[in-house]
Amino acid sequence: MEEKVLFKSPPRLLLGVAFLFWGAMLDQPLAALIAAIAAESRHWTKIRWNFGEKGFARSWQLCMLILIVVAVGFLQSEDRTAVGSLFLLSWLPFILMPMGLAQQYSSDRGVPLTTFSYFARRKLAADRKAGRSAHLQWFQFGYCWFGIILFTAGLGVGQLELERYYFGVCVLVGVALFHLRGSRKRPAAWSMAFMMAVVMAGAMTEGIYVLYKYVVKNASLTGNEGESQRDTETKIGDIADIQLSPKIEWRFFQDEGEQPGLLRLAAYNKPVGSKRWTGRGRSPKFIESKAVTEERDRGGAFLKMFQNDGGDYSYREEDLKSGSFANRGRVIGLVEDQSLIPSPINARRIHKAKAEGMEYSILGATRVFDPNHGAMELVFEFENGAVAIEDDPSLYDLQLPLDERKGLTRFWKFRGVPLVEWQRDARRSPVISVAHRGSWAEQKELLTLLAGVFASNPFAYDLELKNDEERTPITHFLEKSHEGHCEYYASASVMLLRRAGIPARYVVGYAVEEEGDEAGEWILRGKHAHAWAQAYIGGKWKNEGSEESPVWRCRGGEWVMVDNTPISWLSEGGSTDGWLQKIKDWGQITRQDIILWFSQPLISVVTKVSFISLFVLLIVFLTYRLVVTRRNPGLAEKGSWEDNCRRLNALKDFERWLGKRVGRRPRGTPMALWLAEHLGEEGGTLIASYQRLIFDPRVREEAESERLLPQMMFEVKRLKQVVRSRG
Amino acid sequence: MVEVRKGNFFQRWLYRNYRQGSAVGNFFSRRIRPTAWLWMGLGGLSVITGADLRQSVVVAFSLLMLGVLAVGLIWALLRRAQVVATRDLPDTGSVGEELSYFVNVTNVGKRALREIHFREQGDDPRPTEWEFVNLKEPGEEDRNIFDRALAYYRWKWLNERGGKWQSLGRSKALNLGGGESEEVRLKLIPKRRGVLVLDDLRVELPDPFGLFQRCRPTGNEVGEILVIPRRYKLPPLDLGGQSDLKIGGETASTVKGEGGEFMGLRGYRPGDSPRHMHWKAWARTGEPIVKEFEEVRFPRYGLVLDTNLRGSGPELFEEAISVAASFVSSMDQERCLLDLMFVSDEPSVFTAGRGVAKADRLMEILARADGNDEGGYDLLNSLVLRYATEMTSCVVVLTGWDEEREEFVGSLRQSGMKVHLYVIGAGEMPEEEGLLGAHWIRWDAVQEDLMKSA
Repeated sequence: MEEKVLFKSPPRLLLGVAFLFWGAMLDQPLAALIAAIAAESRHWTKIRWNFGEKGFARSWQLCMLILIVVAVGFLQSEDRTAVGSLFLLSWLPFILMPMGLAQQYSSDRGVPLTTFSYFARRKLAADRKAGRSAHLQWFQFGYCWFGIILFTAGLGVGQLELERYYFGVCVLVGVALFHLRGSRKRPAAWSMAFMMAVVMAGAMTEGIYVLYKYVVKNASLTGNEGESQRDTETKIGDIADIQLSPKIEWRFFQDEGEQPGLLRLAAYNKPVGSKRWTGRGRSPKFIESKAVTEERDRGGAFLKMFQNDGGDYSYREEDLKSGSFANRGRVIGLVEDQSLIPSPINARRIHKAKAEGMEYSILGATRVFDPNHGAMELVFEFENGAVAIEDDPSLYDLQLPLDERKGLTRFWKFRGVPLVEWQRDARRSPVISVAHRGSWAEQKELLTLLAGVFASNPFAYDLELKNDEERTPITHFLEKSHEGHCEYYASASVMLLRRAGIPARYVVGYAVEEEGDEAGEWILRGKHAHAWAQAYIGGKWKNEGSEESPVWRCRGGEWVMVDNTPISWLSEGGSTDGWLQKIKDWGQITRQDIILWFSQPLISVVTKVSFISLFVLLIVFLTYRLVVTRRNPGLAEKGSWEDNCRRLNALKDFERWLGKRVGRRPRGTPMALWLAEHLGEEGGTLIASYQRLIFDPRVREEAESERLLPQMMFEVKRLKQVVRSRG
Repeated sequence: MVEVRKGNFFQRWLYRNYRQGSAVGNFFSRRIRPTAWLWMGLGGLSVITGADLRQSVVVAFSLLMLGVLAVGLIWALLRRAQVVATRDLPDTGSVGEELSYFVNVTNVGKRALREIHFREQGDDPRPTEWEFVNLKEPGEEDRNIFDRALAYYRWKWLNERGGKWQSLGRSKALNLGGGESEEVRLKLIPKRRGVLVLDDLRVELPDPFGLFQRCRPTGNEVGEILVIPRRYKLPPLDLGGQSDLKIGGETASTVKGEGGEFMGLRGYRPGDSPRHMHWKAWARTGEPIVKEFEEVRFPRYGLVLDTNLRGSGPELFEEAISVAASFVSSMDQERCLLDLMFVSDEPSVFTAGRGVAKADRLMEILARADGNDEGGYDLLNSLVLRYATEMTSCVVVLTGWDEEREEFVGSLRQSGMKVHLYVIGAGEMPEEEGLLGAHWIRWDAVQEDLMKSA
């Protein structure tokens, strides 16, 4: 190669050990072993390929093709999370395998820098065509590959593995650094400098983790008592991030009957104490994870829906056999495993869900279990009337945070509503003592009163919360600020109704407000996310257990939606009229539709078969090309010019060896004369061989070198013995 | 023809930016080794991809990279050296041909210096503003509008061919104890003719990792090498001519003794040189007899070089020098005389040939020749005409074509002298009467056009 190559090839075993280290860190020993053998086998075989600029470009394109396929697969997968993306990224050394192996088994010492840019290659070709000087920079890809292996070994590895990872990286980087500098001088200085770097980097790493823990997890800074923000988000989440988002989350198509108005994602029955509300924005926290966990602990979190042979699901077994219901609508959106599905409150049946199963919560949530694809279209049938899928209330639907109780009591008393005081009775639950004993109409009247209060001054909708440290959040909202967003109105409604003895739950979902372009289409964006309350009125409490272990349930009533948020909330949120938003909307809808299209059985099979066939064809083609273009490892390899040079280097070594004994060859003295002077007639054969090797052009090309070179090497060995014997 | 113009504001602004950017780039490229860039790239990539501290520990890799780079940088900045150097330079070099020389370096400090390198700082390759504005990269018109407007590729091209010489790498690593001396070999490649001045030898002090290095000047004397012009291969020349062979041989010889071909003996005539007396024949015959010689005559050619920069420019002038040097080196000077004529500060004629001077002398003169942009062609014209009767024919190398040059060539032709006209120009040959029979040599395709001129 005429051009100078940047960097050297990694030394023997370095890449292999790096791969094994990668496998040990990521618990992928088999893949790592195969990769290590593939990378290191170049040292044990003479098979090489002359890839050249074109071949390297093809290798890089193959890497990019693999990356695109993997990325598309990742985007279609259920695990589109940060963890998933890091896992994908940790396989980058394998994605770059075609490029790395091309470098390893290439007869070229480097890779042209233009390999990595289509435009650079075009420019180079244009320069050559125009006769301009075209400088091509070559570099060794091995160390880039090595570095990528090292840092991807740390992806997806937790902090517990930090010490192991750091130790391995230090050893391997040390070897690489020592080899790369190419000089054997100053080993002591090198060792000291490297130790300093290791200690400095170790201290900085430790410092960063300490700082990270302090900033992100320290209770004194965030007020979350050691919990990260992720754990304390409600389903609606941070109001500024999610509720105002114009992103299309779902689409709803009303095919028959009435539009539902609200689509429920989930309901919660256990509020978290307001001390836990002191996080960012002091939003009410009906913590999904904890609420569901507590429900699950009681054995009632999610139940499998009833299913018939046609793939239809229903919440009650008898609904599978029923005729059609009054309303029918479709929900379309992207899903993962256990995604909650926005569903009409009085849904009865779901048609042909393409998933392993559907589940519903006793609190009223519907979720998909192991969906077949990343997007789903669910056809809901639902009634107009109040036919609830959720369970009747239990005592959990009357519980209140202790610190809010006084404020809630003051609210009702101020409006002249008589309340039952909490009674402590050892034999009965104190909660049941406050249960409302009135009729359906009386309870309905209470709901109307509450709606009237929230709809009038001074209550107003506001995203900016004005909390203080003296009052608890809901008390502050009810007595002082009178401003809040839907989560405040829903939370306050739930707690006020419970304080009045009416069972109530906190519900999150979407408001069906924005019409789409198609007939009957409704767009559900992040900004349409909403929270409201649902109350159970007209029911009677009964002990369904024994005196010793009572099980109180309220039966015979009905669930009604209580949405007391001022209607002005719909005007909040980002505009969706801009051209950029239109393009984003188009992209999101198109993506949903394409995934749905692929989810059709025939299309899915055809696509899979096509991809597999293309992949097999590609592998066959590559194998064929590699077999037919490999260089003959036999005669030509041995007699190649590189081989001659290597043997000439052996002669140079002999010159150095002899120079130490008889003095260096004076500058300007030809090698042959010098050898003749010191070796006499003994060196005649060696000198003749050397001269032929240097000056006879036939030796480069013909099999003559087969005879000449071994002879010369033999002579070198013999002459060393002769010189030694002379002393 | 190269159109001489002053650049617009945008071109001048571009030039200033490229020039300053190039200086900054050169500063860093001297001090940051390629391995450091590789390490920085890997560290940056790992920061981007593994920044999530909850999920990965890649930050440790990034910080190790940072630690290595930081230690290397600080180490390199703290290195000191006191070195003096003496160059052992060859007298001459040739444009485009690699040149090796030795430097004796001495560590005059007390501390031992480990793993140091020496590098000659090459001549500044950055073009002048005039060059940037007026010269076009070959094939530039085929580039897209963006590249043409920004002229970055022109800048790169000018940089590649710029500077009088280029240093070829650095010396091998060596250790020098306090007060010790050692000889190192360095290489350079001359890119322009003339006198190369080597005055900036630097000692490079790398950190132990070989990532960064400190560049310190050495105490060194200024060294000079005369670089003779580039020579092109010429096709077989047939310069012929209408005048007879001219006097040469012993007439122009500085060596004592007889020259010429011996023809025979004849009787003495008054005026014959006593040196030609044949004493043995006189003794035999009793009559004074002299030896008769045929006078040896060699053809004499003129090589007229146009040094006028008006309407041309340094690029064309340099190529004209190279073409003239090609004629000097190609003519068989054992069998002819060559008069190199040009106007520098004053009209000058230098003759080389058998018994006069070697072609090396003309090469040296060409290596030192300067262009001028004053005056016309009157002086050169009278100079050439003065020698017209002596010359067999005349090779005229012009740096461009305009009315003045046309008039000059016309004057030479009118004198009856056979003129071989070579015009160094830009682009294709204009269709003009004065150029009939001339050889048009494109300045960016000199070799190709010279071979076509046979």
